[in-house]
Amino acid sequence: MNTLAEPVSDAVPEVEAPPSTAAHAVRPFFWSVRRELWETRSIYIAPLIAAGVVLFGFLVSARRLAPLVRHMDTQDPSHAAAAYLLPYGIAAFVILGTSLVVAVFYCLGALHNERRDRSIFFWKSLPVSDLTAVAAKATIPLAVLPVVTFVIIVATQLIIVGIGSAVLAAAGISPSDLARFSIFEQVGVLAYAIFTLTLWHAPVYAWFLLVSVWARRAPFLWAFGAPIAVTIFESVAFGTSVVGHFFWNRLTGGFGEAFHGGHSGPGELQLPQIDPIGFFGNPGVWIGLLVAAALLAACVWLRRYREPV
Amino acid sequence: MACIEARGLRKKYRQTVALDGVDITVGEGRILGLIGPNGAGKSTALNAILGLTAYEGQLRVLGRNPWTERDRLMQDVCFIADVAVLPRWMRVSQALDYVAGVHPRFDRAKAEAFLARTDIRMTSKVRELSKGMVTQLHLALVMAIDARLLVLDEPTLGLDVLYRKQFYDSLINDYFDHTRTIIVTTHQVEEVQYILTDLMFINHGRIVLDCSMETFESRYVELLVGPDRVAEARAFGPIHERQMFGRTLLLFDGVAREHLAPLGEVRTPSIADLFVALMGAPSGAPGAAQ
Repeated sequence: MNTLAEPVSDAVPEVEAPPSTAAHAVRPFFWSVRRELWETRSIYIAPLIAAGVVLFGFLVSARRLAPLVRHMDTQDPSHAAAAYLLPYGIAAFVILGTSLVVAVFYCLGALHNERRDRSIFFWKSLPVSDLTAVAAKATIPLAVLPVVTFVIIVATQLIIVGIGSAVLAAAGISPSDLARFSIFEQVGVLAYAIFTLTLWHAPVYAWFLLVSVWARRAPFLWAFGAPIAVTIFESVAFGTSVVGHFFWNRLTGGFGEAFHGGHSGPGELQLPQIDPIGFFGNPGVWIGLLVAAALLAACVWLRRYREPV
Repeated sequence: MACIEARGLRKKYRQTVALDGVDITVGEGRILGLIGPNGAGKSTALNAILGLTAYEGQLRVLGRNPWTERDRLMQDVCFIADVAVLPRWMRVSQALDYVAGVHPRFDRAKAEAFLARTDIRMTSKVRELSKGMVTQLHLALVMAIDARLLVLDEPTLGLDVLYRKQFYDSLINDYFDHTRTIIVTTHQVEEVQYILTDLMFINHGRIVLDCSMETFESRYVELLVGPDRVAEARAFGPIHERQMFGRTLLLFDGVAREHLAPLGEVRTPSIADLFVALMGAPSGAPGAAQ
């Protein structure tokens, strides 16, 4: 093989005879991520719509806010604060939930749709390695969506607090008496919650991406069907549900691992509850990340070495 | 110096042998037409060259192993694998942005100049373009890349004759510069006949014919002969014959024109005629095969 290679490589010295086009700098990873955002605009549109729905509901309810707070204030100030903060928590919960759904559907389609519409032949005709392509796609659920979610939730909550305070102030109630919480503290808790949840879900996203690159059709069925099948098999064969609990905890137990008593929505979580030592001391987190890395490596291998369609 | 060098290239799928020990040599600056019926192994050969499929045997493309050095190779190789594989959601401007962002030798101005001569608008999405316009867009992207090897697998399938003609005209006038190498497969062989420098027929995973166009033109002769002189003409051993308006059209391999000229009309056959002669039912025409 080398004997064949020799004459060709000799004829192609480092400096080629004046190329008709000067080579220019490229950023394959950056543009690969951008193209994902072009293709899947729901990455930011869906959380924005969720935020819009919550905000619209809050605006409609704003005229009821002052009487409600005043009524509750006479009974128990903490109830009044809860009423005031309720949409705040709902916003975080709804927007985060929307993003998780978007992430699941994104992952299941990310490496499947390009084969189904044969556009993979176009992507593979360009000097973008399969490692870069898969890394860009994994970046969406692991970095882009969490950041987008965080920003949209914080913006929504600021609008809610702003409007709520204005409404109460107009009614002669001082919001600072009701809401004894720091907005910065809440932002910090939210960042921690989204960060830990993303790490906790990393192997789930990687599994969906692997199914997406592997399944010839119906990736959704494979992605959920295979774990369900294993769960059912275990329960029928051995009468136990270890695997089922394992999967369920991986899907829904993220806050439970990262917060003391965190088995509720992100809106109710408070600063004293965060448990970074418990979370990062949990071998399950690190094993999950290793599994995610292995699954993503399998994605790269399959995209590279299997027939494209 | 060879751009593509294959020795004993084999590819076997579960039941079928797609490539059965093929030798291919394509020099730089050549335009090779790879012609064969459906399922002959054309696409498999191209996929092997493009590092999209594993193979047995030796294969070097621009001095590299396409299977193990694919990422590096794609800097110098470009291909249109099929019509309409551009992502349907993409805007024309996004396609330009993306290719400019990932390909170090993409000349955006050149692509834009080419697109300016078409009806394609920058804001259009690929899904809004006709099939012919999608191919024009793909060609605009590919031609603006300073690649050393361009592979076109059925690039004009399903296009009307105007687009097909324009496609090859652009390719020859605006892209080909005698240092680049082009491989093209197509069923519309008559449209590429005059742009090819080399011709290769492939069938059942084997090379049936491999020659330059100069050889093709000197080696194959077609003779249109009246019924009175058919017997004389047959004595020269035609490889194929068919009836045409009461006269007989005979195809000869390696028979000098001066021997045939007295018998009737002599001309160079079309690639399509030779294709039918070599690929068609071998015993189809009476007295054809020796």
